[in-house]
Amino acid sequence: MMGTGGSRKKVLIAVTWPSFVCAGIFTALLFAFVDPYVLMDEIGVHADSRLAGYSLAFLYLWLVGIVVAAMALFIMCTPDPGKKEGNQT
Amino acid sequence: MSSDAPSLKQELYAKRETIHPRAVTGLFARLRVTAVLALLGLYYFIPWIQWDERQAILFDLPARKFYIFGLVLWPQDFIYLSGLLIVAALSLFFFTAVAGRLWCGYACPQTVWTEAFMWIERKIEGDRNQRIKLDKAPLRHKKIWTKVLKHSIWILFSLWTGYTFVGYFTPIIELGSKLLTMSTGPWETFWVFFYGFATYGNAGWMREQVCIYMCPYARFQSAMFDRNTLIISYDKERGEPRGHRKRKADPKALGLGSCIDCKLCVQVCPTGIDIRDGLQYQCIGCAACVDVCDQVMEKLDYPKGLVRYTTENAMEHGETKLIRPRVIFYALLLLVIAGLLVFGLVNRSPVGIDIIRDRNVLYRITDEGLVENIYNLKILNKQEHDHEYRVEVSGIDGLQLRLDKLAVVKAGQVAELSAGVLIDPVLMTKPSADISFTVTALEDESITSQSEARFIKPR
Ligand code: SF4
Ligand code: SF4
Repeated sequence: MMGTGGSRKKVLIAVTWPSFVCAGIFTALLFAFVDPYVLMDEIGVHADSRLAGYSLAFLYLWLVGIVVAAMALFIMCTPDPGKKEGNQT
Repeated sequence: MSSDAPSLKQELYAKRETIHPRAVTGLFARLRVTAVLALLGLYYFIPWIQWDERQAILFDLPARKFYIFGLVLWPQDFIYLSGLLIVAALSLFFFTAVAGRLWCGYACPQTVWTEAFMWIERKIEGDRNQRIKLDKAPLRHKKIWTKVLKHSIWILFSLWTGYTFVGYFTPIIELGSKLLTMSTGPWETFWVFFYGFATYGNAGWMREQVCIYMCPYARFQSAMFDRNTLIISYDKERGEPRGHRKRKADPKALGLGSCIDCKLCVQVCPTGIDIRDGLQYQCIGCAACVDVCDQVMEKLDYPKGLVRYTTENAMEHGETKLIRPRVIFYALLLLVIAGLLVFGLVNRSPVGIDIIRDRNVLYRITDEGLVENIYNLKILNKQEHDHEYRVEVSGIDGLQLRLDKLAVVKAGQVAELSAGVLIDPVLMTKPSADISFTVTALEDESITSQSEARFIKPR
């Protein structure tokens, strides 16, 4: 559905980049208050280093952000059926 | 909302032309190279500085403490770190209000690494015209080798950058020896490659697109701009009407302005815009166009500064005011928060105490008829060596304290103690009162901290 190389890249940026920034900020905030060992214990994930805890939390938050951004973009790009412009569906 | 959809779509469909900026020399180019070298030098060098037999600057995530030379910060000191970030953001606002996109042009990591990558590219592929020719050439032997060489060097440089980055968060010397013996942990390896890949992608491939599409600062900085902010601008009045001419020709006689329409300013621009079209958000204020246009003016014996650092007010023959409410506001705010931060850090206690009342029993009566309240004490030793502390309680005359063990806390650790506070009920007139706990290091009276709690007796 996405056309040229340039456009695909921009969609990729819109979906991955803001979510990346937010994941970074929220990971930092989260672990300012919680020790990753404690957190991992709570949720029953086994990890042998704190680095694993930080990384998994970051990647998880990033994934959540990606899903949100992708959905937002999808909604934005759906043409309004009431308007003349855009695709006739 | 919906009317935005087509334009958003167009935005997303626009195809990007690869930009091949021409190399420039001149005053601002020299300044930029100096800034780039200094910043890259700092970045790659800082993790190697040692202090007290450890890394001087280390955000030790595995151990959850941050070292900044003599200063050690704990997760509990998060407030200072946030303070530091706020100070950094405010400084950026302040400099933006005064000097526009100075940050973008000279100090932003995106600019700094892009400059480094472009330098490598120029050394291997040559300047703008050679690169354009190379890109158009069919994929033959020489082209393949040139490209392979360039990307290999880029990738090596990126990996070194990734290694250095991870070296800010886990001791770099250890990390280095682990890398050499291929015994790094999975996540360390992951982040070295991740950051390396990000560097390679952003500085090698994305470049100006990062500034145009990804940078939030580029978008909201217009809120900090005003008519007195330093910008780079083309002097339309002087330059127009633009047009080609013979070198010795008199522009007045030809009815021309100073711009000879050589388009060099467009060719050097890393974001590929034409500064003569006016102030654009894509302009990162790198001053490459200033340098190159000055050289053109010099060759023609015209006065320099057709494209120059200026302000909107100055452009319209007004006066540029440096001191203005916005600048004063940012400066004051910056001063206050930086002051608070320094004050907080200087007066930061090397020991912390946290008190939680035992939730199960409000109070109990001992065999001797005393009222006892139980508290959980958490003592945090923020220093780099072990300490034994004296714990005292005050607030009501006649209070007694019973600890379940000695208050010995290892360097950088938290010890939990159970404390029973007792009093003869006749000494207490009210049903409840505030008491305070004090911890003091035995060998240094100045290391002390206090915290309040509530004491309750039966009515
Ligand atoms: S470099 Fe100067 S003279 Fe040449 S086109 Fe740009 S503004 Fe005109
Ligand atoms: S217009 Fe000039 S200052 Fe702005 S980005 Fe381009 S070359 Fe740099």
